[in-house]
Amino acid sequence: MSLALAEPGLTGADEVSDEMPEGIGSRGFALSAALHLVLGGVLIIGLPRLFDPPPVEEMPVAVELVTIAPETRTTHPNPNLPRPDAKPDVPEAEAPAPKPKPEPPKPAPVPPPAAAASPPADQPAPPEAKPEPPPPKPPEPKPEAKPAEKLEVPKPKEKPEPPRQVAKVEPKPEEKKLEEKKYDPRQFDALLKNLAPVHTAMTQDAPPQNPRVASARASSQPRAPLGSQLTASELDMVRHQIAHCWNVPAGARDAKDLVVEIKVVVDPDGTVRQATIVDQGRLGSDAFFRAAAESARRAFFNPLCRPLHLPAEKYAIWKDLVVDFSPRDIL
Amino acid sequence: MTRSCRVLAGTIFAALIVLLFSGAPVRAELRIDITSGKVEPMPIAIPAFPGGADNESQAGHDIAAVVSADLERSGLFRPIDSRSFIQNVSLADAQPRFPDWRQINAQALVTGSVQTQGDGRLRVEFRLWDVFAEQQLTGYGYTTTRQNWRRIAHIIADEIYKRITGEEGYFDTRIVYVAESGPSAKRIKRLSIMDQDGANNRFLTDGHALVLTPRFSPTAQEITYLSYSSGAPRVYLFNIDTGQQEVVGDFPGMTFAPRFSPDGNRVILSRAENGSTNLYVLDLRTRRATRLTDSQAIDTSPCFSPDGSKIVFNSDRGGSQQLYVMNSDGSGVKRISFGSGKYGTPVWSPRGDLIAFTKIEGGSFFIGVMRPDGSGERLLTRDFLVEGPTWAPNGRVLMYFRQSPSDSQGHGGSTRLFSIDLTGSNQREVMTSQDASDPAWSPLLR
Repeated sequence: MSLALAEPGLTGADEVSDEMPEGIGSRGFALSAALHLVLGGVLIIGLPRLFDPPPVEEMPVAVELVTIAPETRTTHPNPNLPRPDAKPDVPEAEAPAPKPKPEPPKPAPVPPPAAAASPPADQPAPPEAKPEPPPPKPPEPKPEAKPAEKLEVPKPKEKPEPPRQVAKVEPKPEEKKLEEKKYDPRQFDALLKNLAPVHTAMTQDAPPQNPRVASARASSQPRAPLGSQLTASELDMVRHQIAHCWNVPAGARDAKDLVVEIKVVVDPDGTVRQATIVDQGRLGSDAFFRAAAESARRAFFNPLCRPLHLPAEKYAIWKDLVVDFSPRDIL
Repeated sequence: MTRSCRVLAGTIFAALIVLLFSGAPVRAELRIDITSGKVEPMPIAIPAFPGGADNESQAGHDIAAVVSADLERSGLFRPIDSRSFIQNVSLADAQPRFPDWRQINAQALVTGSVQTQGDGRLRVEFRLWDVFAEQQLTGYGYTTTRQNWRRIAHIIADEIYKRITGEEGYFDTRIVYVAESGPSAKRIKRLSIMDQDGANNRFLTDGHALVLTPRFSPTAQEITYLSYSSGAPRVYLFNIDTGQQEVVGDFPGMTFAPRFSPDGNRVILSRAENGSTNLYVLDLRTRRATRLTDSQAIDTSPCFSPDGSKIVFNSDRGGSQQLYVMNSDGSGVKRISFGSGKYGTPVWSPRGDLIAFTKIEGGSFFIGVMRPDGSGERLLTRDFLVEGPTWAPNGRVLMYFRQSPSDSQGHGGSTRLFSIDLTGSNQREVMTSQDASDPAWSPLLR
């Protein structure tokens, strides 16, 4: 049915085309071709852009140029530091003053760095260090005497044997009171005394360094230019070395947030002469921080980090180091 | 006008010059960031404490051994084998020969001495040294009766632990637990107490009545627990010193799952009545009980937060057994566990930052921890049956019991105590002479 209806229409259309004049047909064709070309051109060239998102402007990527040393294997000892040879040379070159010292090797420097300086394991050093330790010794008697009294806590154990005697109940409260009374003041004293040697050791180091600490904090700008003077591989090497010497205090509460700043004075042969915990205030008040700070400080006295692998010719750059320890990559 | 302009320009110019030159001499240290390191036990040398007489030397040897075992068990220290020691520490040595200890890679060194005083008591001293820095870190002396040497060793281990880690130790503590013996059908359960290292074990009850869930009082003088000695399960108090027992509260019906409040003056427990179980808190001084929850479900295993302001418990009020936290007056109940499986026996950490729990999922038991708001769930251990976590007083170590499966004849199925570090590592069995379950860690004894 529908086909039969459609046919008359089609025949009608044919008739119309037959009537069209020749001239109009060719002009129309040319016009049509031109229009098609234009349309095609618009489709090919213009439209795709209509649907595409506007081109994103590419952001410039900042590239930091670092100096790479010819040798980049951080695990290898730094060839720049033939320590044994360097040692004798450097001290002489460094200061004529030390020369008189050789005989009584560390008369002047001894007191402060005694502990720190001796570790190199030079045989003469330890004996020399001992005379100084007397300061540490005094602290010893203190803890002995005081805690001794505070911790007379033997009784709890005596109870176990005849467990259920009422008589024992009384002694306990007494002991407790004694413990408590003794405990507070003396433990506090003892704590202070125990801290004393640490503090003195620190304070010996501290005076010369405090001004520097201040300047280091104030001037964050020079940090980049200075750091860039050591090559990336040299920095990597020493970073790697120190990380291997650092026994991280694991599992402590909020350890992730702990950042310990250690100020280090290094001898020309790469041996750390002084390592000072910068935040002395927190050292006395925060046991977690103290544990973390001391673990960081200990890293510099670890035999694996003596000496530090640093290029001797750049001593001026790394003579004074500030090392920030944070276990954030571990925890 | 022009004159003042000139003066101004001159001043600015001078200031610029000053700035320029003052900046020149500024010199800062090279700065290095260290963000990684080694996480391994600290090598520590603990030579025997020398003494004058033979018995003193023996005591010194024993004390050093206990200190060493305590520190080793913590997983944070690695005591160095005494056979590698170069220096033979004697009473005469005022200070150690540090190079000798550095050579065996000791980072810390413990020296000490044992001497007998005129009154027959022992004088024990120790010093902890930083071998690298050649500094004394701490040192104490103690006077004690001879038989108390073990406790002194634990106290020394605590001091060392505290000085090196910055956290309180947990060695001078005791564990109360349920000692089990006999066949499973006729199990004898006795209340027992021992040092945290398993030494000095003694039984507190004779085993004629079933006992469960002992908990230490924060004062360490009393234990609260569940006993069937009167036939029905009731909560009791046990005085460790006197051996006296008494029923807590005069409740009709069953009471169970007791636990002390942080101040030791109250006991929180569950009471079953009319098919539901609710939480009550009982003031030990006034003996007055206060009802905290009022649900048709089973609310049990309550535990106070260390500051006493909150209570965590488990309940099936939502369909499955989950953990809930509420204020200590029973208000503001909020569900905190949303993982799959069932959660039970929540225990608030003494340092307040975590809640330990038992989780049952897929036929396995887990011991895990989460923050008090329910976030950060971490499963520490998984087994056929692990249950009943209890915190060491410093909140870094958990103890729990583990039961192994028994065969078809009912053999096996032993129950033992284990401890595990908060990091999920360092899982150790706590040695007991017989099967043990339901451990509860005391606070530090001092």
